[in-house]
Amino acid sequence: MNKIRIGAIEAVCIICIITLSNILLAGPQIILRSTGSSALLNTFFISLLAFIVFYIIYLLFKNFKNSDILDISSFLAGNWLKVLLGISIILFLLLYASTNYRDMAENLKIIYFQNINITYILLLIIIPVAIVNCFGFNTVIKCNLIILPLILLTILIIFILGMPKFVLQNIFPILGNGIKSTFLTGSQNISVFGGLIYLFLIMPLLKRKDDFKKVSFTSLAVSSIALTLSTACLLFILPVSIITKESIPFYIAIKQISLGNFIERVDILFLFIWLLTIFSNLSILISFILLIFKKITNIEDTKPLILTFCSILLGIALIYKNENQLTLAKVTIYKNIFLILVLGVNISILVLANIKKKIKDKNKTIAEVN
Amino acid sequence: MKKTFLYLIIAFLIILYSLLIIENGTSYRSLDNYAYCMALGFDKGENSKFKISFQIPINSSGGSSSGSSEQSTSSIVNSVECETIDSGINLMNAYISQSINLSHCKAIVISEELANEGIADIIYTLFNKVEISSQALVLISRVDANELLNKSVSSLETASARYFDTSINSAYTTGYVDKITLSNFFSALNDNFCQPLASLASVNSKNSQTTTNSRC
Amino acid sequence: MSDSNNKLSSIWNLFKYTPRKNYEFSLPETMEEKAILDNPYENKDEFSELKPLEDTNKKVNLSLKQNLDFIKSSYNYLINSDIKIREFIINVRNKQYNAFIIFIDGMVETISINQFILQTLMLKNKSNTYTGNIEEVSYSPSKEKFKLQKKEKLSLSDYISQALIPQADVKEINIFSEIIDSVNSGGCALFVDTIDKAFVVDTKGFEKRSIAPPQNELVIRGPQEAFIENIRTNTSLIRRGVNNENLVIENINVGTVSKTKCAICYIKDIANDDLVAEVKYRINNLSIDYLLSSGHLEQLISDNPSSSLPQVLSTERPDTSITYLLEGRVVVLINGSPYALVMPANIFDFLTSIEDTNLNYKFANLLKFLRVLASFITLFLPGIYIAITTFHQELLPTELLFSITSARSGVPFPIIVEIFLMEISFELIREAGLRVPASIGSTIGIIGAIVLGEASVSANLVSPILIIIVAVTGISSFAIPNFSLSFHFRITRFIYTILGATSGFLGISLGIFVYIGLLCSLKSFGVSYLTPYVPLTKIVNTGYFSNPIWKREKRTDTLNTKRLHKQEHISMKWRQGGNIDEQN
Repeated sequence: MNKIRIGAIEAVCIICIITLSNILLAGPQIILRSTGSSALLNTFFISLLAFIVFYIIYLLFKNFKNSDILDISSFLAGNWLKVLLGISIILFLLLYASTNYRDMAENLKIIYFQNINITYILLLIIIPVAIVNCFGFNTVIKCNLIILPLILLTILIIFILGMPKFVLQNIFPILGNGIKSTFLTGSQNISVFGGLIYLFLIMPLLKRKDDFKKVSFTSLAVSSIALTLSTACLLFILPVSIITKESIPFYIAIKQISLGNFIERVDILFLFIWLLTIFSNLSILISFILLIFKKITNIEDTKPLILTFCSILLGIALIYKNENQLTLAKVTIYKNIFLILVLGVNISILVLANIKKKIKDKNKTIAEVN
Repeated sequence: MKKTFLYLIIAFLIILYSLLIIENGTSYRSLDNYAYCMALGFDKGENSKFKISFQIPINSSGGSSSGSSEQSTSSIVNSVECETIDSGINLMNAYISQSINLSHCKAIVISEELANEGIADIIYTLFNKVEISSQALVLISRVDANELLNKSVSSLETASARYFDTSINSAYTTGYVDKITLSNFFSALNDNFCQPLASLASVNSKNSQTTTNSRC
Repeated sequence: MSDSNNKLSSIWNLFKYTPRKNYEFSLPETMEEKAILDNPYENKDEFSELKPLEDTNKKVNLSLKQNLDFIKSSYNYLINSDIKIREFIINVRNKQYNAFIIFIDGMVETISINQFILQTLMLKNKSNTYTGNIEEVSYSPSKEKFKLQKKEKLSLSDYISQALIPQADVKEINIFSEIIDSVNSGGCALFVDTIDKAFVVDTKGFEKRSIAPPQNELVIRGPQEAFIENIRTNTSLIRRGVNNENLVIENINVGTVSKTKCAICYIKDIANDDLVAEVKYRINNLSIDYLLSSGHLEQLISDNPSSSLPQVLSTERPDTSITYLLEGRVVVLINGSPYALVMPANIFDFLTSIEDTNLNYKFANLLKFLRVLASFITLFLPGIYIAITTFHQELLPTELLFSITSARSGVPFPIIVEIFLMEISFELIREAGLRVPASIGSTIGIIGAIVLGEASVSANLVSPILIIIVAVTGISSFAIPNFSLSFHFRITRFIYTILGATSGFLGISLGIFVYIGLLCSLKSFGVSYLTPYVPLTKIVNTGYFSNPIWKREKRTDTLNTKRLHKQEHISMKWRQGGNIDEQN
């Protein structure tokens, strides 16, 4: 089995794919629900916060050039912490992705396949993910590299085509639902940048370790630009009160776009991109889960486990009985788990490991001097 | 032994999937089983809340010649009385042989009588339907919507599908009419800094149209 | 008991997971990082070894009679009608020896045998009656002067081969299998009594086709020569084009029975050593009986023979092969096949033709764009048509929708059945056109168009819009330059049609995603199939679309050639005022 080595641009694409998949499905809606018409301000604010978080992570990773969060946790407190952290990350990834997955399937059912059972749509989405994962990790990364520029292009095209329909007055009142909801509680919206999780895992896979800085900041820039564009698109086309009530506001916003008299419904062309996004997102997710699992359990070949994890994902996606449960899970539960797990636990592990390494180095230099 | 087992499973799945194709081709969803409604009309019903009219084109069967690409020139207008829009569509599906499809609806005509009572719930219901196009025109008509749809025959072109598209073209050159689509109306309805507008239409011997503001 | 145990274990084995052994070769990143090639076949009992038909090590005997008997039994002389053996007496240094020659009638040029072997050795002349000493003139570079010295008499075999046979290619061989190989390819073997070697003389003179214009790869501005079946003529065509002494053409015999000659051509100063070694390794390790064509060899040495995508480029034009050789690739020629194999190949090679380098870059880019468009149309058009008309009717403009419904009003079949009817009849016409005699070939085209197209529309079997779609798809598939790739697209198009019919755009995106995964996972001789876009290497000036001629400075990065630059930064020195140093 060849060692996996990915270049800088491919790493950027991996980290961006989760954010972009969130954006195309429900990301702006989460922001708009909590902040109202100050969504753009909130977007800038969370981009700034994310920049700080990324910088902190970069600084903390400087001492550990060749290890990801699991290796660092085993350095800190032994194997049991590594296993615990690994299992919790796997569980969180599965739960987090299942909301996207089920959300996409529900959207498809509402719009195009009204009379078909949700299980079949879920199956049709997970099967190509399983097939492409059988080709190997390198293939999944290369597919991602092809699909991501298409997504960025689509977001740009949506923004440009939607410009005739923009109602700029929607930005008033500027502070939306208030300063507290824009800046204080609104800072929780950093969970839209889901790519943070992969940032912790990607270090040993890079070809050149110095690329880490470039990778993290480029992906942040790309994600925040895409988030701003799509939030602006959504905010300016539809009134705010409607966005909070509708279930697929992004789709309805795109439905307003038309290219003259000739093509009236452009949203069908964007269906390709949405589907490719969710396929890519899920396949990267399954490959990373397999990587983490391999690290925890030291098995040689993880290919038979693809079907296992895909079935688990399918099962979790079927737990939600209806759209409301899904929205509750997405907007409330997983947002908080993301903040606790990713930002809280991982960063504290990094800080503690850095402290431990500094103490060790100090003891070593004292021993050498003696 | 293992390989043949695998091949058997794959062959079974392929056959199963192929059966889906044939079943799907003759399903209710195929192109031939839909009636594409070109315009919707809303009147005040005599015994119930609404009287909904559907303008459906009749396709000339050009099968005898070598494939005709001409548009149909004739259309029929059918009406039903109902309490809500969805039950009206259901009733209509029961009457005619093909099922109604609203994805190519070009105009939503509401009679003035009904409009005076407020059309916000009609607009909301229609806007929430997935298949309706948001480029449909919103027209308020002085006469019954049924009559307006029956008399909407253009003298300048043969294709009745393009009647509503091109009839509002004078909005770009004059100030008498304005092209208000469903999305314009809806967003004006919900924004708190402007009032919604619609075009006023009527029937006389010369088929003229005027605009005015209208309460919603 | 053991039977039931075996059955139980065989049932258990159905569910047991055994990992697949994958053979993976990749070109190293830099010259320093050499990849270690694992031996893929660890357990040799997995395949049976093919033994050659004859004893490979039997040596030539001193006795002429024994050699004659062995040759007669090897060649089945009594029943073979075209093997000729001529026994005669030769004169060397005024002594007479018994000898015989063996050759195959029809493969040799009898004039050269008569003049240069029989005449010079049989008839007494001054050369073969000279019994004196040899006085040799030579130049010694250390003392820088000429010298004349008397030499000892040469041995008999050396004297015959070096002084008595005035023929260009004479070899002394003492192993029977090699002698038989040379006689089989048109040589003439001379056996002399008391000498334990045979003299193999090259006297090839068989009939072969003359060089003709290519039949399948036509260009407007390029040379009009194509390869023929004879390997020596093909290698001469390549030699003339490359015109450099660093071009190496190595010979390998493939197949234990047919011993087909394969020539591996590469330029020593440019091609990557690992690539050449990998090609030689694969061709040398084939245990087959016979190899007759380049298509056969292509399937045997591809990385993924189970994939329907071609991974090795086959071409019948020498200028294509020369261009690829000078870019750093390896070309393999097979005796008996007018197609050469070029490796490694990526998907963009199958979408380019050699015309693109001859033309202005603007025209070339237009043609390349057209070809990409043609491949998209070939793959997706029927699938998208059926997906739109079944699931997504709102995408069509209203007038188009009404014209489709009115055109379909009399047709009894659902759309998917119509599509399959028309597609299958189109494929039948195409296949029948290959086998039709040339005299009525054009009438088949007219019959196909008129009868199947027009009449089926008039009879209300299919709608006219579908005829247009199938015809456009068929025409686009002919616009793809490479035959194997267009064949692959024809197969994949059916899969997309089925997916589109059952699940609309969801099915088609599913198919696209898996297809992208397939393309990304393929490798051809260590080079990724979607190079240079995936993985993202330096695309500068080496991507799919052509650059202006002054910007084509570097060879493709992924081939890791020894010589990266093929043009200086400023190649048109005449614009800068010419070379100041005119002595060069």
